[in-house]
Amino acid sequence: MSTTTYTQQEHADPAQPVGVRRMGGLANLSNHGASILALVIVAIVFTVDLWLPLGVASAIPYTFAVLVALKSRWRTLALRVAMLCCVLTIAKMVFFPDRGSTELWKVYANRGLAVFSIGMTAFLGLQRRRSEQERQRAEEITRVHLADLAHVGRLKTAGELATGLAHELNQPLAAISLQAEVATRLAQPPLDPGRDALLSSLQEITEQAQRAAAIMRTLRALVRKSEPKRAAVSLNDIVREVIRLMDSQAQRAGVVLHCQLAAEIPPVLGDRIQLGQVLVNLIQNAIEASVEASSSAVQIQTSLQHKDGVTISVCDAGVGLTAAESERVFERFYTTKPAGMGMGLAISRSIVEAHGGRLWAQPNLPCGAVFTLTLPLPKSEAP
Amino acid sequence: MPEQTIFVVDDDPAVSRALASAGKLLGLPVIAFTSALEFLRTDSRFQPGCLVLDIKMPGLTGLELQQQLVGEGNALPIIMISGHADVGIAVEAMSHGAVSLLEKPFRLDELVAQIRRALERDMARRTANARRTEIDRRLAQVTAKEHEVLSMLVAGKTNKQIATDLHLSIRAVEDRRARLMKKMQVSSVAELVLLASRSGLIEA
Repeated sequence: MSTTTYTQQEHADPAQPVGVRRMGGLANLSNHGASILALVIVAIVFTVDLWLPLGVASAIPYTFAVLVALKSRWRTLALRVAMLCCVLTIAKMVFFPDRGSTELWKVYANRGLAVFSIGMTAFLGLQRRRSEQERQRAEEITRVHLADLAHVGRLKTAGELATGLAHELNQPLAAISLQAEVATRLAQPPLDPGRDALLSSLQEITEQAQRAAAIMRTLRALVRKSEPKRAAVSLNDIVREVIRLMDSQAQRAGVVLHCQLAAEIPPVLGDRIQLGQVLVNLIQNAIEASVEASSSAVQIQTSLQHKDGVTISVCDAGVGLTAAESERVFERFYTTKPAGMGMGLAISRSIVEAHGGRLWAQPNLPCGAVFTLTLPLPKSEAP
Repeated sequence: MPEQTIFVVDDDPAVSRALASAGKLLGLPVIAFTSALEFLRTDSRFQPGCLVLDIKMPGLTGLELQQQLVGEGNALPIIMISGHADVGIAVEAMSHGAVSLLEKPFRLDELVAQIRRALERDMARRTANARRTEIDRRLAQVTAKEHEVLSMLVAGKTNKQIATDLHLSIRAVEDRRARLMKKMQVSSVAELVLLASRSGLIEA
């Protein structure tokens, strides 16, 4: 009876959009910071520009102000700063027409080029920002779709597991009900001789109620629609949790789940529910394939690979796959089961790939199939 | 009669512990096993008592254990318990002679009633067995000639008829009958017939 709790790691930060992360220093500017810095640059450039004769290309540095303004999320800031810079560039020429020995056309060309540079910087910067945003939105949509799909898959899985869970829940309930009645009898006078027995019954009731609650939590976690969370998770824990969930289903099918867990396996970064879902899927397939071929053992193994990171493999001696099938099974709507939807493995592969890992199938020898999933280790853990 | 024990075979330790608490309440010793094989490794099945057996277990299931016991000719009374008793399982368990089938979670009263019934059945079975062994022991001392007289007596024949059939004097038949009744430790022909029927010599 192992009530596993995983609260510790649940508050790790959700993945940041990739676009913002790479820019470092400047990217961390707040909207206010960007506008103030842009205005300061404008002021400095304007001051310097005022002091220098018109022959010097001293308006070109205004482009830096525009670049800084582009870092702000306020869409119009870069445009306004650019307009301000253009106005100041022209204003200097109009109100302080001291041009030394420079010819007039050169002055016009000089100022014109400055205005052009400022304008182009703003234009290209905004253009780039728009495409960046579109890419981010597309990524977001993909992520949401995957989460939705994963959720639908889990609901289906939960439905299939419900019978097993109901049985699992019945055990603590049976214990609770019996112990409670025993306790009731014991609590009737004369109390003294039954005191210890009464206390132990009451304690048992508490423990079994907790166990029932843990089973409900597992079910709820499976059904709940949650934002995918990235946290450090141990594959061994996930395997244990899933096996607990599926044991009764396997037993009913007459299949024994053999577990071989690597002794020391570093945690990976991932969503425990989604990864658990992938494993449930693989084991469920293995059980079904075993039943069809009247085989009775499924092997689940975790191991630490030298470079690839960590792997889980699910190995059965069931009906097996041909080489061609072993790639097709991951296609959407491809199924070999009469009542299958052909989504389980497709969803599983999307989940694993979203975790930066790989999921593939191979024929097992002499018969059956091996499904292997590999997940990369977090950067600091890599050898 | 030695003390009866409640044997529990359930792979779930919490359920076993609950059954043990219930047994303690009855003042009866409880011995719990977590698998059918563990139970079979001991000689518990030959002890007086009853067996509370979970149907769904990894390895040897409850039904399989029951079949094995029936196959061995072991008549330890069995109370089946199950998380989800479908009709098929119930019919199979009962047809192999289970005392009853309780669906989890079950009430203490139900359990106690079934355990009592099972223990009574066990007691009756053991008493009958003991009596039968005793009769067999007595019968073993009876010679072939006396046995001849015995089967004719239980068939309802008189001394005279027996004497005619066996070509003996009535006196000789009476002698054999007296020896027979002494060996069987009975004082009347009626008692003799009763013992004979219990030993399966005749159909009562």
